[in-house]
Amino acid sequence: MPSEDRTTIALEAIRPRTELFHSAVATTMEQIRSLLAGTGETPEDQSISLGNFARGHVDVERFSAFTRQSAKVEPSAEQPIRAAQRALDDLLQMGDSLFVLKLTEGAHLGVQVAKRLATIGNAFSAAHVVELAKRGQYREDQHALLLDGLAFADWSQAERALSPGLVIELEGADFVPAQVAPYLDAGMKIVFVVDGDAPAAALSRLVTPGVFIQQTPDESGLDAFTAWQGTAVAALLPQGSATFVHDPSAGETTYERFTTLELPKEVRKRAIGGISAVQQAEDLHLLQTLAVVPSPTGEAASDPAGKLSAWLLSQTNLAGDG
Amino acid sequence: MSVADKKSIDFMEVPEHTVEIITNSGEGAQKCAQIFGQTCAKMGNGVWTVEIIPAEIEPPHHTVTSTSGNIIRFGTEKITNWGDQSKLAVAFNDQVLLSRHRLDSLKDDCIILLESCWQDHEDEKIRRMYEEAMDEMSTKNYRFVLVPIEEEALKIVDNPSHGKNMFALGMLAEIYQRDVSIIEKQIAHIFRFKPPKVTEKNIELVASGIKWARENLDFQFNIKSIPFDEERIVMNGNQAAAIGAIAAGMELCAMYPITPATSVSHELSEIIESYGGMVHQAEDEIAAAGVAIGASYAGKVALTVTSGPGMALKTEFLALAIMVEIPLVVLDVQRGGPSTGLPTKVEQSDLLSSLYGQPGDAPRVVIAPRTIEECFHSMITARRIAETFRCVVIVLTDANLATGVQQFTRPPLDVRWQQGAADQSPVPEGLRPYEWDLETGLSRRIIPGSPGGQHTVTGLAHDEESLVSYHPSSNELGMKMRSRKLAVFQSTLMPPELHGEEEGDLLVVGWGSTEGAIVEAVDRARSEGYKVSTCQLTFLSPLEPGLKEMFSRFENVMTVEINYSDTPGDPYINDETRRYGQLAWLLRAHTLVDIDCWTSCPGQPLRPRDIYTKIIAKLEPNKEGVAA
Repeated sequence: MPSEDRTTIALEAIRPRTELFHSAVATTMEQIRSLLAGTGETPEDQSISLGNFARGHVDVERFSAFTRQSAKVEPSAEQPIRAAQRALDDLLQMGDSLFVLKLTEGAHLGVQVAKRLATIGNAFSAAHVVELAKRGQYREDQHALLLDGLAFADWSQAERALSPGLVIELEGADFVPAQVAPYLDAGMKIVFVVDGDAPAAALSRLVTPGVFIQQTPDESGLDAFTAWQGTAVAALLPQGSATFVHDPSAGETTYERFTTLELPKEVRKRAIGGISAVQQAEDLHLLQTLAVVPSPTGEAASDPAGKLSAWLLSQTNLAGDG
Repeated sequence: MSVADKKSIDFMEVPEHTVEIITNSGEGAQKCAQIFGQTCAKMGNGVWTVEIIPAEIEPPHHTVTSTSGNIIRFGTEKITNWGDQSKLAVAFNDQVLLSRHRLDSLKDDCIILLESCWQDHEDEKIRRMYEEAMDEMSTKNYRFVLVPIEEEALKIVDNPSHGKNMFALGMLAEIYQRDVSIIEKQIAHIFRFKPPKVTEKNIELVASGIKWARENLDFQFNIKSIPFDEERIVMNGNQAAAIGAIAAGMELCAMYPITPATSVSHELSEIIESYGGMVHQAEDEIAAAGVAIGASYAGKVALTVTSGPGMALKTEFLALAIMVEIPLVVLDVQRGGPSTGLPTKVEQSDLLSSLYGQPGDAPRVVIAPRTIEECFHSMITARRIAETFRCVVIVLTDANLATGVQQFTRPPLDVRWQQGAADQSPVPEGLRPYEWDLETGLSRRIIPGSPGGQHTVTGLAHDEESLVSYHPSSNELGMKMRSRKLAVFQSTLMPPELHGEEEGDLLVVGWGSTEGAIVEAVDRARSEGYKVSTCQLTFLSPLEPGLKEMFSRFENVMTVEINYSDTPGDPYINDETRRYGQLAWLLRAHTLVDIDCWTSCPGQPLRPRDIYTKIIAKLEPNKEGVAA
């Protein structure tokens, strides 16, 4: 399947997260608009703000005499609030492209993800700027840089919970998912769309008890990833990679949590990008260690995955061309 | 019953019908009715639904106390109440049906689709119960149609308890010619969090019910719908209140689960975070009130949701909010009381406790939506009043509105509903936290973080500086100012509208969810020439102006309410001992008019026919066959 189609599928897989984020940004925009408008001056504004329930019961003109017209922001606060509004508008204008990171060949995955998340973090900075301005506490010299990006490390837990997730398009040679580990928190969802030769089980390095991890060559299999309410990482990989699903809801032990496991028929014996054959084999070995039911005799288990794993181990010859 | 020839189908066109689906608790009557009601509404019919829910989680099955169900009244025109009696019932066993018969819920010629497995059941005791039930019901001309509901469901699912309801839904879809594609969408939506095969099985069961009805029933009803050119939405009152809270810009809902209010927070928790808000489930009712007050103190728009027993627990905290003048909206979804009372049943139980359930004087605004649509809009108005007058606004809905489903015009959302966010601009030097305008009692609400606005609040008597003060004049002034705000708000209210003539022999006064049933009863009496009008109050504290003058234009004034009052003529009940319905108490005290009341607390909504009977009894006490 062409990469663009796979990206579309990946975007759909994080759609609930992106919608949540967009909705939060749009709500903040509405709040800013309402803040800049104050309580509204016209009789129509007053009537509408009082709601339909009051219609026929409350005399709007008399009621308006008691509402505070001065709830508008101070003139000095208007400039930073408008800057925040622009920043939010910029993010909204980006649409889905905000959530798709196309990694240029050879770029450092971790650095690029940090940069994109900082851009996304501008939404939270903007809200912060508005709060400061509302309270008359905004200081140009101290706070002007807030809208230049907010590093993920500085996001609050509530902000992290609103993270939209990312789709990352990259070449197999740049596929070093361990570099995104610092961002796996509070429901973050990342889907890698990997082109070309890639390490066969690189995502195994991200397996932790509470994170949903999925490697698949089948783009249609991301329903469980989408439905999972917590942090999750998936990779759409070329054929020949390991296929597995680590579902935290499936059990207490790691091997119970591996609901799907298909290992590659052959173990690659050459380096891909900076990842040596030994490292790739270690990825696979890690996967087997985590996913296969331990046998009391020390031999490979009798289940199909266990047998396959035992066979793979016997095939592993690291004296290849890597 | 033999298979009917399709040509002999009796196809009846009727303006409206009332259907009951009655089962043991846990057999899915609610889901079946929910989908059926939603489908009717989406097809353009007027709809009103009422849930029948036992208070116990799982009462003994196949008994008269285990009845769980739903009543759906739907018609060509707008439907405003549950009507008088059901014309068709689907019953999963004889005992739940018997319970409805004993409540006189079924019309004399009601068509009853009854599960067929009980009459020949292997257990003799069950067979005997069935025979006795049928014998008891033989006083009516019900038309029984025996349906192998369980047998048919078992062809598709292993556990009939998880399938009979959808089979029943299929039968109703065929009988009333419902749009199956809407039903399928509703099923998919309800089971959206379950594996797809659950949806598929349910749709298969519906299809099986349709097929069975098509092959075996010889009647159908057609209830036309009038096409509408506006967007409409279908929901229950708790959903409407939840979405209304979001539309009103509420940022925090603090609550503790309590029937029948809990689903407000369920609805909110699914969506409020998308709008920058949150639901906080506190450790108890008291804490929930405290959290909401704290959030409001900090400048947020806060709501707490509860029901009667929760209101009782929140009493002291609500007094704090009133004392320190922190705006707060409280949604009280009333249920039957006192004590644990009737958790799942309707009662207009909390009017007086909402008004006066506090030591000392603690004035607050109390409003009561009359319809599900008003549950939405009341949240917007409640917020605006709370913020404008720095007061507590209690919104009284009830179990009837909470769980009933109705369609209404989709409100065009307006950003101005959310306008006027807390003013956090710097506080002018010298402005005190309670800088009361001595004429209106109003003062600027100062958010603690605003520059120059640092202050503490206290539930103790305090002065304008918000400092504890036991000086006699301070306490007197604080009391006066808090009370004055209500008088000022009352000055903005308009006299309530009358339904009917401006003067006459009887004025029926109601409040809240009873409007539809009262108007229907009054219209019935008016069509017979009686000079009766009605007025439904929505602002209960302060009361709308002009009531005394309005009452003076009628020979008699009588409230109709779903709560308790003594019945004249009962032992020991005389003019000195008689206790009145809650609104009657309030209006008598407020207007000094000798207002009568007819109230009832059966744990279910009032029926138009019962109100009609009382109206006639009031107007013609000597008329034969009419009990006063």
